[in-house]
Amino acid sequence: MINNRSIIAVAVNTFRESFRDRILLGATFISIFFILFSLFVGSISLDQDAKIIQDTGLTVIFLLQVFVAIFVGASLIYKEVERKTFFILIPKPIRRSEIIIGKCMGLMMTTIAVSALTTVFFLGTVLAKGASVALAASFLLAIALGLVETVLIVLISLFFSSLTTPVLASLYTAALFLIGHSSDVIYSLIRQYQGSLARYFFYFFYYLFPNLEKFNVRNDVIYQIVPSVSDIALMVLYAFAYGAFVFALTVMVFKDREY
Amino acid sequence: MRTLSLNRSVVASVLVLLVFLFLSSWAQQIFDVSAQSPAAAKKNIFLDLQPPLLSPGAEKNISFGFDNALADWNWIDLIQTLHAWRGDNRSVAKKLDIITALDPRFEYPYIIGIFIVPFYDRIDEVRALGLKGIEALPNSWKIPFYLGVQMSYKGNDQEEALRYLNIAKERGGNPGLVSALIAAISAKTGKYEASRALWQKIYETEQDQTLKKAAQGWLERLDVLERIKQEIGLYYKTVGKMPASMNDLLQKGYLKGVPEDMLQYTYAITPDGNLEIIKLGPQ
Repeated sequence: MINNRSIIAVAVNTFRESFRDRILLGATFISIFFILFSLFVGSISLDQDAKIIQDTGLTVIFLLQVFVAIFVGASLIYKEVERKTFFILIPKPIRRSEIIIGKCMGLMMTTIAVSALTTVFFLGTVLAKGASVALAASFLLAIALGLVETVLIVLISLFFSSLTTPVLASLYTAALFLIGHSSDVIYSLIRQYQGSLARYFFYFFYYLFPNLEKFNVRNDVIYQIVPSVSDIALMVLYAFAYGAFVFALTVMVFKDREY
Repeated sequence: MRTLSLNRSVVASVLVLLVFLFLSSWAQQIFDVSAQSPAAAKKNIFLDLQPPLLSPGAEKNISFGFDNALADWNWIDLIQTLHAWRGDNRSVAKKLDIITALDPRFEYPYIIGIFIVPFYDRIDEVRALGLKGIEALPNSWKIPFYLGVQMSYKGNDQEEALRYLNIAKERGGNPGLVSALIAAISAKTGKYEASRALWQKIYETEQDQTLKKAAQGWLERLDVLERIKQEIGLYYKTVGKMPASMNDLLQKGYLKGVPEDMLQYTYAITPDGNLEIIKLGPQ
């Protein structure tokens, strides 16, 4: 039986701890700076300022979400072990799976908070530059799908964080993030090797690695191309299923570890 | 005694700082002088567009989903060197290829590319870029329109120009100018009936007074062409051969003068007896 109160307690503490992180605050301010700086870049783009501002804003917000997931997430469990605060938690009546869910939720709360802060600046800028409310709503969808992707990255990050040091965990998560956004390349390799055994090798990795590019609608929404409800439902289902897989894997590793 | 030694260390520190400041200023001066030399000006990396390191496919593969942002970056990089583009710089077309591969729905690079690249006399590159844009943006009338314009004026291929202009005409939101250009090129290529039908429609429906006036001028011009054609037919029936030039029609009294319309176009007969519009320019 999962104890919701324990999960919430861990989540709130994780949120407090990560939100106090000066690097995170620095990254948030740099993101806001870049959103505002895109006004200048747009002014030297031969009348393409609306596109430049929209692309820059969506990219910066997504990069901030990924930054939180990879770099803050990777150090979460390791920091607790290093500071020995984890040993206070272990004897308490709390399951290790609850710790992971709590940590993940806390980190997601942090991501949502910094995303909301930067989104306010971004939407303010694009609306001031004449974007329609419908277009702004589609930007919100892109940012929300970025958050769904972030849940997966947080889980992957926590998985590596429970295995190794923060630096290596960040590296591994970043590598998986890049692979996840290059699934098209693996798929083209599968098509190239039609009829040979190598195809199954690539198929294995194609399904093993997360396909993160499916959550990327940033390149489409600025042209008002919005995915259908069924497509969004499929994306969420994929995120849920893959997230559950990584979560189960993390719990397995976490349970067997001796602290 | 202590104050003295403190003062000495302060003076030494200030001296060291001054030495380093002097050294850095000296190095900066050397850099500035060499940057102003004629050889450096010729190879000014800030003015010249550098050739792209990667192919469009490679850039797309390593964009990791940030396709639009990378396309924007390349676009800004490209237009900052706009004033220094030279005919021998092939990087412009390559860069445009990369931008449109990363963000195929970005309309402006196609239009700028169609206008800029022909100045380098590379009409094939213009065609390739334009066709890529026509396919990627099925609702844009601007790309086929500007491609048609360039094919007519730079490529001098009126049939191909008409093909692209007709695509532009089929797409929504196009202005009356598209039909007007099709009508004008049709008349120039001898498709008088098609041209007359289009000009008539423009004359009857167009709200823009400039276009309406142009349509009226072209309809009058087409009337003159019809009359000359009739005279050529009459000449053939009477003399038994086609007139070699407009002079034959004038000398034998079939025409009172070479007709000239308000837009300074002159009609002439080619040696093989065909009727052509020859632009002579302002008289």
